[in-house]
Amino acid sequence: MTERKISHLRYLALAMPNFEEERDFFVNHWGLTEVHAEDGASWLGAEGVSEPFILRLRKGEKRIDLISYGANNRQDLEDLYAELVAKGVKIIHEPKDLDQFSGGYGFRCFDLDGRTIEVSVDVKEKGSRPINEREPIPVKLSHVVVNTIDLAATTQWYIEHFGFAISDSLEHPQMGPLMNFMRCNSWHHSMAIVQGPHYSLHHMSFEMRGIEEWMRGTGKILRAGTRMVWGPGRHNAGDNTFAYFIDPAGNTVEYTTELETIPDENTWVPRSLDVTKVSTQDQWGTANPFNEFIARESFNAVDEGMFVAAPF
Amino acid sequence: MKIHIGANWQGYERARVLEAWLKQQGHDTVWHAADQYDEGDDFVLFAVRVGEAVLKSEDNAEDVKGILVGADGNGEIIACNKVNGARAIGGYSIEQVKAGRRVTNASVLVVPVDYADEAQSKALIEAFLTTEFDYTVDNARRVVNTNEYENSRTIEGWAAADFPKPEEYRPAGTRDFLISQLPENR
Repeated sequence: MTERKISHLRYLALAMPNFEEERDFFVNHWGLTEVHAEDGASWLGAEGVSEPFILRLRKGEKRIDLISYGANNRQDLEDLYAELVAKGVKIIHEPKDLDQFSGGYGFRCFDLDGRTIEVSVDVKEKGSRPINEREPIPVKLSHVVVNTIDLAATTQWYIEHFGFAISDSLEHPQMGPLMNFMRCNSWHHSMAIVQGPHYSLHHMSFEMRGIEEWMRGTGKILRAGTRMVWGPGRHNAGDNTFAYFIDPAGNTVEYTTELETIPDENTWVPRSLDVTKVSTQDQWGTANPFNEFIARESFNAVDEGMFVAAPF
Repeated sequence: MKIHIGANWQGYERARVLEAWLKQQGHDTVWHAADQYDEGDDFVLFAVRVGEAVLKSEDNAEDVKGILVGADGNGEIIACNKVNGARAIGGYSIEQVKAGRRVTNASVLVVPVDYADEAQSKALIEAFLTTEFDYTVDNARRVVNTNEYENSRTIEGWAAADFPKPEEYRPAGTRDFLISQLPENR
């Protein structure tokens, strides 16, 4: 395993035409806190982590603006940047003081498929508090999952360029490999890659404090009129409870809890799980099977932001 | 704990006694019924008010329960459960109330004065307030399934009409729950 220079998933930045609706959904129903706002853009934090924000929304054509990771330290960031340049990765900007909200120091580049990736250090943390018992709000951003048209190539790129490792995979007996769960620290996965018909966001997942808070959050979001597309259930890959919803921009959002951690990466053996066996996807065996309908929902619209740097 | 209390005229007197008793134990009670005994007042408004107040408190992360006091209690249960997200049960025995907490995460208890005297009412409430939901994933899932049906008319994405028919999933020879099959109705 190459030495890993990134430490964790920081935030996901999205653009959508119905920005106001999306902002209202995440602030007033989903349970995030607006920590900064500008005309047509909103920076949303999670109460349970000191990360300055975990989701950035921007008014515009629907796309993933960027996915941001933290680096261990400034030296690792510089070294990672040099490695990426040497490997011919398309750079958006070199390491510099970031002039965006929460500042920091970092660079941006495109991944193999053209998603914008940001790596940063020294951002101004906002502070956090323990989520109280019964609070129906997310603790943190758990993971981001993207659709790609070449699962093997995209996966290999993340392994070789960012030091990600495969924790588990899903496969279909006829269709072949479908999804790789990727880790960059001891969490079972911070990112996952799905074989899809095009490039897009598959879903974003938010971690709740425990099952009580997950139940309350799920009840609350259903009462807000949000459609649940899959769940409730408990995944075999990652051991986490799940409930998937569709947000106003048509993205799939998940409330999860109890995501598995991998205490010793050296002894972890990735599993390849057959999606046609219900128990693979859903330990409870009761959620509706992962079917074409659910798959279609999570294909999402074609992301028009490939190899186009976000405006900020 | 915050406890929202409501009662119609039939439960009024008992509810005031229970309110004082709960306050004495340090609970934060909120009264949702008539200020004074009002003969003939209907339970529906109070049942709905208590259900809504409990939901609002739940969303505010409060440790909360609701208590309704009525005659037989049945109308209160039905009315309160019309509130989106409310989980009201009747109190007809200590064990049944405990099961209601453990299995269904009941949030409102309806105390029927027709079937429970003052001491029994207190025992039912005590069982209700001190028994925890058991937090197994199966029970949590059923609570969420019910929430989903209430809001979208589907269960795990399926409309009721799309579910397999009982004979398609029920193994031959298992018990049939149709009322027409009960011995007294044959």
